[in-house]
Amino acid sequence: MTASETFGYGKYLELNDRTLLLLRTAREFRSRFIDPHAHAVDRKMLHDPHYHAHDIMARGCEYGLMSMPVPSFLGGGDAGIMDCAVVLEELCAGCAGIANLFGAHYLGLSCVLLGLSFHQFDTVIREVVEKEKKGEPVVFAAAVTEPMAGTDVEDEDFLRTARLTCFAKKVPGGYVLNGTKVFISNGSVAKYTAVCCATSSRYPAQTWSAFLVPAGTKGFSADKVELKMGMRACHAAMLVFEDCFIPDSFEMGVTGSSTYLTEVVLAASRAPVAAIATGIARGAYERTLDYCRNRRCGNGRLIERQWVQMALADMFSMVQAARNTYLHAGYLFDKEIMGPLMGNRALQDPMLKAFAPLRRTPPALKLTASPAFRRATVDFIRQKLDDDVKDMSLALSSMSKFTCSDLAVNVCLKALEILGPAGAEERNFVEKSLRDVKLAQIYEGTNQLNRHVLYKKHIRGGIHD
Amino acid sequence: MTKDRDYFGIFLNSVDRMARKDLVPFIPEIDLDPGGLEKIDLFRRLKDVGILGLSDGESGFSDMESIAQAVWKLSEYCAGIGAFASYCLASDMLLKNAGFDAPGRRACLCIFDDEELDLSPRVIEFRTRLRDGLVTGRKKSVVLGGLGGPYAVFASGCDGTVLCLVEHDPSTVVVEEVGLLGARALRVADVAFVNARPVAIEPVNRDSLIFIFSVLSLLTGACACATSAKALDTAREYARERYQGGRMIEDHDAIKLLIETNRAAIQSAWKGVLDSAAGFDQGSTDGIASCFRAKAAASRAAVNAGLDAIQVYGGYGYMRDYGVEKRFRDAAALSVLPLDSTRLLLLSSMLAG
Repeated sequence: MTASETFGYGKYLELNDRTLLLLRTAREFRSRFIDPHAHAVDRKMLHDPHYHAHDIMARGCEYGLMSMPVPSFLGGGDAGIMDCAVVLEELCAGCAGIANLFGAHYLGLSCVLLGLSFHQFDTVIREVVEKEKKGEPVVFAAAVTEPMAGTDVEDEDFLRTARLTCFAKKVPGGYVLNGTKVFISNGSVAKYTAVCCATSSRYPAQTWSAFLVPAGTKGFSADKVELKMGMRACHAAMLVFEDCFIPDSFEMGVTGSSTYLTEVVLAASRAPVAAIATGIARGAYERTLDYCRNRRCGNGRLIERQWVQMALADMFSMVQAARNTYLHAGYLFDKEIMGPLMGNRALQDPMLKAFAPLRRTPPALKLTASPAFRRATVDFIRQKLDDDVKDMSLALSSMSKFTCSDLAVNVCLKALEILGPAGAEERNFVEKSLRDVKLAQIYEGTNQLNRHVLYKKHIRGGIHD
Repeated sequence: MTKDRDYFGIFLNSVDRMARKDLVPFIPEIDLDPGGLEKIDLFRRLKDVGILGLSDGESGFSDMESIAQAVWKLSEYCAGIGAFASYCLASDMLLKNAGFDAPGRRACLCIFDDEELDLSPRVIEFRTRLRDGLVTGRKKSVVLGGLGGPYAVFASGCDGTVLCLVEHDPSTVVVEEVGLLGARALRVADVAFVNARPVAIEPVNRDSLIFIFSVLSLLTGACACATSAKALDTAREYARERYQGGRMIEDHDAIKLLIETNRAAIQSAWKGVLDSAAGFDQGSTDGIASCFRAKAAASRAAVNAGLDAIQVYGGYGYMRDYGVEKRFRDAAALSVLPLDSTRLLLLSSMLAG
């Protein structure tokens, strides 16, 4: 990869050959399977929102995209948050809708991986890795948003007054879920959905819990797919739970632990969302640059106009600023959160790998599914993570999310402006970037919420280093 | 033209009634498939209600300020339809100004070739040519092009720039419709002319183009402002229904400011459109340049307001069911029609110079 190809990635990528390799892989996947199909898939889903680009996801298996964030001791690609973010930026420069199929999958996976749910490691995560080898994508999703509570369910304080409609009730051997979740990316195509909900309407924050719900479970349906403005390739579905029984073994963590784990997951997931916005902006910039180079203007080209050069420079600088912001957040998460959580990889990985057959025996699986083991795991996570560091990581990732998405919207508006009347036409793709990028200001917590989180977790505390 | 305020109010009410009754049920369908326009015969409905007669000078409301208010009214329901009326009115004015005897014609304005339009020289060069009485060339981004002719084609002839009126004939005119971000009622298309014989030809100059851009700028600016103003109104209603953090969304300062900042910008932009319209009507020296500046301000205000209206709705704003995303798409598409703010401001600077 030449210096110009990695220009702007800064010191982080220079230090990491693995990330460069992943970036190269993502570029190849994008050029072979995203760029040629992006327009057609987007167009098709305008009239048929139930269409699913399964073939493209299946192709992603060949590139290891389905198991990319899974640790190597489980057979995955061992990518950190920064790696995932870099890959998502690249895919989004092609088509954010298709890229979000993978992004939403990573979010679902991260609920399991960051919760160190060993029982799921040896069952569903193993399935992801093994089926990927056969070219069969096992898709994950995460379901948090409720019809009357979007922002509220992403913050512990707001959760206390949230108007929740989805609850889990403890019954012998498991839980029964009732209620609705909305706007769930991949919700209608996921084989496994990580569902967060309270077990008590009176104490939602104290009883916020997470469950893994397999597709096809009795009482669980995901039939309604929303018609969206952009990112059409990735379904946003309404999930309905009607007396849906989930066994204890599919609970992740323990009852009430999910407010804490949700913060860890959000600290991980907001930098990739920022990368998604950055990728969309980069795609818009690249297409605008191409347009300006090729567009005849008198005896020259449009790019020779000074105002165009200034506008392109603005766009480029905004993309670079956005990229630096999300790389910083991703780097910090990998170093300060993943590092302590995963411990000494050189020592632990061979051991975890060697003990894998033992962990998969029925008695071991019974043990890892037990509440006592899950509680011990949650205690381990709390013990390993310094609260200040976790808060700082969440603040930075939230900052990267709203900064990058706001910058990206501006980049796309500039692209629209430079192309002029042609910018509004579907064939030039800039209008798609504008439609897609708006979602980045909304999902994974609105930008207003993310500003609130930055204030609450960092500024209010007076830590400014 | 003296305007009777009461009578104009009655006229706007009739536009409002027609839009509510005859257009609103079809708006989502037209957005998904602009072909649905034919079902409602939009041109006839707009003509029947009197909007398309505003440009003929006999209605009493042919001043630009009244026309802007009329398209605002339509655009409160659908900016694409407001813009449709704007383009019909503008083409009618252009044809009349250029000396064509074609009152009330809905001609598609074929302006842009496959290269940047340069308005700085006195004589504009078009790649579309008129040779031996036949028009040949490919026009891009032709608004209303998907509806068929007649076409008002700007071309370069032997003696300078000409405006040719070409009727639709499949053997000499090839139309290829183009998908649009928003305002899909405009049925934008590429139109290729292969030795097409015009029914009428008139010489025009750069001023004709600048005239048409100024009229369209004012009117599309009004359309974009109207749809975003409506988006903000519905966003405020939504903010009063929905709770977050134990209180109405509207009670949060962040949301109050989001709505009010945009309302201020829209209010100011709309005032600018009306002032420019008055200047245009009075034929003031700065009238045309002022139209371009007003459009630039209106576009920015409308696009930002559309984006922030979606933000107030959160996830629901991004879904088609609530209609606010359509308002944003319409405003964004109209922000670059007939030209984007930057090109208009450069043009305004050129005129001022």
